[in-house]
Amino acid sequence: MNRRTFIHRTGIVAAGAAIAPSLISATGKKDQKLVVLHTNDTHSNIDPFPDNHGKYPGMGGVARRATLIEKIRAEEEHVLLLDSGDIFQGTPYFNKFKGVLEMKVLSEMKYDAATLGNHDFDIGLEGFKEAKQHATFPFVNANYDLSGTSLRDEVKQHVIIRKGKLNIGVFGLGVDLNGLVSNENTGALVYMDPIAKAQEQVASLRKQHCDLIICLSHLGYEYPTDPAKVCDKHLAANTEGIDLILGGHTHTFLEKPEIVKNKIGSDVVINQVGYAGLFLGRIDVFCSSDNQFEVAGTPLGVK
Amino acid sequence: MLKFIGILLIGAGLSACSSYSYKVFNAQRIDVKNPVEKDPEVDSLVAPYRRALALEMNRVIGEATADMQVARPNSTLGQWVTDIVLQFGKDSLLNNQPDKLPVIALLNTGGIRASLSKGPLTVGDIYKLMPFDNQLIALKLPVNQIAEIEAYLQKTGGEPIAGFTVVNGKIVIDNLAESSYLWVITTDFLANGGDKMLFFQAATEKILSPVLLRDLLLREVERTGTIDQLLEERIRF
Repeated sequence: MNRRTFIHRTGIVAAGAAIAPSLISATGKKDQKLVVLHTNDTHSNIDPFPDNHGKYPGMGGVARRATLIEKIRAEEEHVLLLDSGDIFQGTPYFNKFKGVLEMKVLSEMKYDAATLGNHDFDIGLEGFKEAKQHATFPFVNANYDLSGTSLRDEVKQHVIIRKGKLNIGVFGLGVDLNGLVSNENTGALVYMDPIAKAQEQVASLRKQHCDLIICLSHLGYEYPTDPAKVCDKHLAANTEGIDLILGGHTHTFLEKPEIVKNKIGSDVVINQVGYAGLFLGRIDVFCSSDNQFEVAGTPLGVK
Repeated sequence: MLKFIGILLIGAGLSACSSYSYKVFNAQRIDVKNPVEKDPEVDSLVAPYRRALALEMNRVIGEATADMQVARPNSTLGQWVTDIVLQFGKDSLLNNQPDKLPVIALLNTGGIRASLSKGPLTVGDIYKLMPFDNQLIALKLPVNQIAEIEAYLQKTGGEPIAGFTVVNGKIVIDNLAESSYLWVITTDFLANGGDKMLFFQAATEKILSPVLLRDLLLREVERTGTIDQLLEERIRF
């Protein structure tokens, strides 16, 4: 029943296959499995959608999301929980409680990090800072210069999280706020080129011995009507060293992650799970120092 | 059984620092829905906030006779909102203006954040439709900006409008002939460059209302009781 499958360095670069997660194991002594859970654009959706909702009746809700997360934490040793921005805005919870409940709930779920979306500026820099007092997780962004603002000590460019034997570097990138947020609300924030900043982050995280580099992006997945606009696909293709881009902003419902070649021909995994917390994204990462992974059972099919 | 979609890929020889050069990814999109139980701790954290909100949000203030959605180029929901904005502009923002210039309203499709379902309408429904604290504003624009608005509507495929039409891609405004200016009623978000409506930067006069668009809509539903909006073909390319 157990069949060893060896994945060679040359040969398979990116094959889409359906394999039950429990059936892959990284068996080398130093090998590590990490489960990355992620959300984006939850937009203050604390409660599930109403049962009469046209498209997603009864879906979402933070209490159910918390149960799913806890169940996975009980089953898996190393779990990372991340959000790609726009925690704020979208339900009256935000209007009434000014982001405090969103911060409390995400903290209760033990998020490891989040990035800022444009709507996270909807109550201004001071409003965000005020709400963030209730957050126990860090916010990361590397392409907003906040040095002239009250958020200068509130947002880090990146964090490094240790899970098992893995050092995981997590940095954030935000969308150009011009036209999305009133100038009053962004104050002295300066937007910087996300691709250049991403490459700087990779260099810095490598120097700090990161084994896995994750970008929390609020740039948007792609812009079919404005193909030149910077987006996750451009970011993946024009940088090198990012393993995983967890995106947001465009509310894109990807059924499965997209794989894009980076500028040196390696694969970058991009994912985004719609909005409103209707879905929880799960990406299992198996890291190995050699090119042999054991796959028990038979792969369910190759696409 | 949860369905996993696997992606096998290998990051070849990444960095000299890391001993994990080989990575395999396996992905799954998990539905957040029944029968997953609610986590009691998170639920009890939310409970007092939910109670405070429910009191206000569950209040029924009117009724919709049909499902209403926003769509490009024309939609019942977009036209309902924009008609209210136009009327507010004429009655409240411009009631002291002696100039008798044409008045139109222009909003953004992306700013209308939720649909309305047929049946009773609550305060919460209007909050979801217009969660932003946008204020209403009147902008006095030179008529040469009409071409810019036209180009914008062409590019985006249409936005919610009132007080004018677009016929074969061309803007038609009644009584424009002798005017050098017109008034546009919109939101402060768009007036300040939101959604790249840059033609608003050419405004020579601005009248900002302290009234929020959401509060105007709430007031209007309470006043009329029933929303029965017929779809008009205001925009045709």
